[in-house]
Amino acid sequence: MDLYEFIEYFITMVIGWIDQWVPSQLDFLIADTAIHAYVVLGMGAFIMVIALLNVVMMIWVERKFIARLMDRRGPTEVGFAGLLQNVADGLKLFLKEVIHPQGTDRFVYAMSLVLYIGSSVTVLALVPMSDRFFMADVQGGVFMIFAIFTLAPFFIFVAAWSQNNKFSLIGGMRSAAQMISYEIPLMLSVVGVVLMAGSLSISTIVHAQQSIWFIIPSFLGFFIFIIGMLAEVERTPFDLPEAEAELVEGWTTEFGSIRFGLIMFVAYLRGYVGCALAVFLFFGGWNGVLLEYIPPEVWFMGKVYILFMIWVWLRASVPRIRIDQLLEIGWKRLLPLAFVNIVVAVIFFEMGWI
Amino acid sequence: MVEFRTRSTTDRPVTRKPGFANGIGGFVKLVAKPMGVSMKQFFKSFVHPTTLMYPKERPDAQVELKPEHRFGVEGCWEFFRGCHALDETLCVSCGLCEKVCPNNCIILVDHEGRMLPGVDQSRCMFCTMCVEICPKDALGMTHDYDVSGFTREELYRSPAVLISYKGDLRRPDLPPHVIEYPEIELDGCIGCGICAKECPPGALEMYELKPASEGKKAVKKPRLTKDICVSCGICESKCPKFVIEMKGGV
Repeated sequence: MDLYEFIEYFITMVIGWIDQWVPSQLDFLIADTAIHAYVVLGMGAFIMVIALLNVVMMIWVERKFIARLMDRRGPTEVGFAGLLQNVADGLKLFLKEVIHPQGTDRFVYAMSLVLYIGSSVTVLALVPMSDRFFMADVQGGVFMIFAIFTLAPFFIFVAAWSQNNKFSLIGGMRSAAQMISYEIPLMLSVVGVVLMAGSLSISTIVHAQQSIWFIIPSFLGFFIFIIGMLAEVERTPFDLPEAEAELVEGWTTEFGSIRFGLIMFVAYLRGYVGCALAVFLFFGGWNGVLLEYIPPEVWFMGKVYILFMIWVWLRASVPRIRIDQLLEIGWKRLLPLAFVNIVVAVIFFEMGWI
Repeated sequence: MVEFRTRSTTDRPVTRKPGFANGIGGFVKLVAKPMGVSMKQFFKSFVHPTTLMYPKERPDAQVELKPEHRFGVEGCWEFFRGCHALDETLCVSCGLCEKVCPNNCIILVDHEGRMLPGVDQSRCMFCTMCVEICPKDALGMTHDYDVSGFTREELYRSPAVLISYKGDLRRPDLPPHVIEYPEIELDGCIGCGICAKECPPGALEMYELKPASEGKKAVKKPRLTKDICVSCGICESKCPKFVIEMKGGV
């Protein structure tokens, strides 16, 4: 029994139990199609909880790992080895007062944040953990994920503008410029993989990698994808939008209390989705190597964590780059390289090497 | 150890290799090399990270310290400015520490019939001016850095507590004291004797200039014994006629 069947069984059992109290006018609530919708929603809730727990774990991994890279210890006190430190921080942020700065556009200030967080969390519906553990496997999954990801710069820019603060406005402008200019090489780097797999669906792309991971024929694409994704989720060395040495906290300057907590959380959520995409496209997704008894979900999460730790390693090692250097890398280096990558992929495809 | 290298741009002309080679070289130099350094640090940190788990692990209690963790003796710089200690056998209760303290955290209080300094550690900024000015070398700093408490009262250290830290008393190498002696204009002196009464070490004493006669009281003047004087200036501040002035002596 897989997870889908288990949730279906559970929900059918619950509905059969409450069936005797349901009046006949409300029978449509327990029709087969309705039950299917409940199951999908239950599956979505399950996947979302799992993903959010993973995000909390990833923050912990980052804090411990970067501490060791910097010759520190990281959180140690709350829970075993500081595992509950993020929960404690979140609770603390819940207790803080919500402040509206003077001169903000209240409606936009609130709504832009809701839309940013909402659109980022929506992506989770399209990120499967294995071929039996997913909410929606749409035909253009990769395309959909990018489409939803691409909404963020607009919301960030509006949120930055609504705060009536020059630092956040500069941060928002940087963020918009960075995200828009890095989306182009990012998506072009995916084209090679899509050509080789012949589909935009994540499950098809992963199944196409059973013999060989796409990182080997498309290493250049992976290189571009990782750099573009780093810029897209605003992580060091591309964390210019929240350069804390120059712009107080970038576009999040005037967001306090749990709003700040949610923004940080969503930033890591986007990092998780970015790592997951890289794993789907280049590291064979949930395909394992040799060790057949390890479940595919564990394979997938393990790869995501290792990739994320490489990002943390990069964060501990390199400084933040300037905005002009950032845009120069994006337009002058990555974009031509992405076209080279497409040509390489076409050659591989046409020669039948893949 | 950290090694800082500075290189001015004029020393070497910047030569840019064209195109692709520049990119690869830059990647190795600016990304791969720092990543190697931080990974080295990662493996080193499993021996013992620089961070000490402070309340559980103390620098002086730790058995084996790495050389870069150790300063001076016992894990501290030798003249580390911790909390105060007082040698009550040397203190003459002159109150110079109370006067010089910039934060007014030292106040002379009664301790077994003597006035001895008590320190409010919550206000102390560890400037060591009290230690520098102490004429009898009675006040010093210790290696006790653990100033913590749940109330303000816990942070106050009475003379008894300061005396209990006497064994760890350290005094930094200081230049010799600026020695000033009271200079008394005997013409204006009315012989009240306050200065002699207030002098903590008893360096001023009254002597009879003219013995009492014909119903007049004896004329008394103060006399200074320079060996005992600690230059505290109390006589100057107490003199009702302002005829005593502290002046640099020999």
